[in-house]
Amino acid sequence: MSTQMDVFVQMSAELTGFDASMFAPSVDPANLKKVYFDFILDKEPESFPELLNAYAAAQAAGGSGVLSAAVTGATPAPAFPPELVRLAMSVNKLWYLGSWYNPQNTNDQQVVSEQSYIRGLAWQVMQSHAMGNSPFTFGYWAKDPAASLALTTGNPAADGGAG
Amino acid sequence: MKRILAVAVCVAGLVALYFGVIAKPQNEATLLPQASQSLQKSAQVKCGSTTQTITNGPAIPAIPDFASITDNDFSLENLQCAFDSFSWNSFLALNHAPEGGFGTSNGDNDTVWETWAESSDIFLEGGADPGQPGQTPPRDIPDECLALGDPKGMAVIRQIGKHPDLLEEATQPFNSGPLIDTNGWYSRFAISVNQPMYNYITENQLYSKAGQTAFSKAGKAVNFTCSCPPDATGTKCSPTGQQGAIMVKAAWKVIDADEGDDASQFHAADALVYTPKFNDKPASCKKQTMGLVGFHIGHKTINDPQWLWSTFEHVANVPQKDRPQSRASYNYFIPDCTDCNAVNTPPAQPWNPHIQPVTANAGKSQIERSIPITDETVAMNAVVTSALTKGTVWENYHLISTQWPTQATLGQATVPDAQNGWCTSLNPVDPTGAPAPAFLANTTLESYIQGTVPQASSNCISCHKDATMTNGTFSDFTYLLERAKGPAQ
Repeated sequence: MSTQMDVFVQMSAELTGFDASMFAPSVDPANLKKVYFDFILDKEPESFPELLNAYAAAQAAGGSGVLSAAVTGATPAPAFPPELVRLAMSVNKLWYLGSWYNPQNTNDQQVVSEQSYIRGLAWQVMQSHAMGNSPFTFGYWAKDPAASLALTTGNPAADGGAG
Repeated sequence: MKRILAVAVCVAGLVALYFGVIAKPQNEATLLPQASQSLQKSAQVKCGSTTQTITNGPAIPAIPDFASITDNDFSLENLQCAFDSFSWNSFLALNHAPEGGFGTSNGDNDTVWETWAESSDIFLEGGADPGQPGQTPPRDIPDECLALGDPKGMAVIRQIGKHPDLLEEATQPFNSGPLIDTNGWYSRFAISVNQPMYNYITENQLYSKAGQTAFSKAGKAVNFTCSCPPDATGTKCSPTGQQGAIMVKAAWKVIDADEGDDASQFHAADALVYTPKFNDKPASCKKQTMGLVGFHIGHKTINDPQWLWSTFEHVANVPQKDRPQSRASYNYFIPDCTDCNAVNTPPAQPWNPHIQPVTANAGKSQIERSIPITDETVAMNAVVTSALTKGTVWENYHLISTQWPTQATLGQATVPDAQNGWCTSLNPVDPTGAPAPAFLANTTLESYIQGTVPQASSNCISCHKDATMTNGTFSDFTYLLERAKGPAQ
C-alpha cells in the first residue's frame, strides 16, 4: 500500500522526467522530498492531498502519464481540474528551481531553503551547478561532463549526451 | 592484512625508538590508574537498530563493518552507527602505542600516529627529497629548536592555524584566525600521514613542485591507495588486504599548570613549539607541555573514494550552544564572560603568536559547539568511555561524528582493480557522494566555520574535493600536496 509520500515521489518523477530513485534514494541525507512534502502541505492543505489522491487514482486506473499530459496541455484530463494542474506545475517548478510558485499567483515566489536552491534539478539538466556550489572536483571544467542521462536516471552507465 | 599491519606497526615502533619522536611530559602530578596491559577488549553498543562492536585493539580497520545491518535496517541512522563504530575502532587503534600498549604510562601512552611522517618532514625547502618510500623521513627540526639542546624525544609542533597558508613562515597573514585558549595560549596543529600515503607521495615525487608538474605532464592523476580487506580471489583486493592512505590532523593546547590545566587529563607530550618569523619578530622555539584537544582522521577506503572523515575532541573543549553548561571551565570557552570575544568569531586582532599568553579576554577564542552531537553518538561515546577507555587519558576524548558519502559511486559501483589501487571511482554526477552528515565541524579545527550554510560551513568532503596540487590539478581530497616547495620545473 502506497503512502502519500510514495505517491508524491511517483508524481514528482512523472512531472519532472527524473527517475523516482533520484527523489527517494535508499539513503537520503538531505531528505528534500520530506521538506517539500511538508512545505506544500502547509501551503496547500486542501488541494495538495486532493492532487495526490487524484494522481493515485489515475495511476490505479492505468493512467500513467495523464497528469504530465495535462500539465503540458497536450491532453486535458477531467481528473485534474485547472487548479490541480496549476498546483502540479508549482510542484514541478519546485523540484526544478527550488522555489515555490504560488499556484494562484505565480508572481508570488519563495525560495524554500539553501538546500532547495542548490539542489534544483535545473542545475543538473544544464550539467551545471548553483553559483559557488559546485559538487565537482577542482578543474572539472576541463573534463567531459557525465552523460546527461546519468544525471536524470542515477545510472552512470546510461548512454546519452556527453560521455 | 594483519601481516601488513604488524610489519607497519613494528617498523613504526622501531622508527619511533630510533628518533625518540614523542616524550612523555615530566610534570605529571596526578597519576591515573594503571591501565591493563591486555590490549584486546571489546564492547557491544546498541545503536539505532544495530549492535556495533567496538574493539580497543591495535588493528586499524580497513572498512566499516556493516554486518549488523540487514536489508530491513538499511537506513541513514543505522549506517551512521556503523561509520561511527569504524571511527572509534580507528581512534583506539591509532592511539595505541607503537608496541601495542594503551594507557600504560600513567594512563597515557605514545601513539602510532605520532610516529608517522609530518607534513613538515615531507615538503622540504627547495622541494628536496624527504626520503625513500617505505621509510619514515627524519624529523625536520628548525634551527631555533635545535638551539635549545638535544631534541631527541621531543615532538615539534609548528602550525598555528589549520589553513595551509599559515604554515608558510609569515608569508601569509592569519586569514583563518588563530585558536587561542582560555589561558591565552595559541593552539597548535600538526598533520601526519601513514606509511602508504607517504609512499605514494614519494614514489610519485609529489613532495616537490617540479615532481607534481612532471606527474601531471605524464597524464597521471593523484589517486591514493585505499584500504580494503583481504580478498582470497584477488578480484576486489589483494589476498592479504591493504592499508590505504590515512591522514591525521591533531590540535594541541598548551598545558598551563599555573592556570589549573592538568596534564593527566590529556594525551600530553613535551614538545618543541616553533613559531615562525612574523613581521619584525624572528622565529622562535620553546619547550612546552602540550595536550591533545582535537583529532581528525581521514581514511580512504575501497568503497569510499571521497574518504571517511572521523573527528574527535577533548571533552572539556566547549559547551553546546543553547544547552546548559556541564562544566565549570572549558578549554575554549569562558562561562559567564562579559568582556569576551563574540562566540565563534576569530579573536580580536592583532594576532601575534610571539606575544602570548594573551591576557585580555577579548583576545581569546570563545567557542561553542553549533551542531549538537547526536544522541546515538553520545550513547556510543558513553559505552566506550565506561567499557574501553576508563582509567586512561583516552576517557577524556569523544567522537563528534563521522562524515561519509551516501552515494559514493552512484548506481553500480565501479569494479575496483589493482591498477586503480583497488579503489572505486568517484560518483560522476556528484563527486562529493552526498555526504552525511551534511555538515561536520571540530571546534578546535573548524572553530569559526561551524554551522549549516552550504559552502560556508564546515563540510569535510565538500571542502576537500577542492584540494589541488601546486599546479591546480585535483589532489584526491588532501590539501597537503599544496605545500610542496621548490621550482615548478
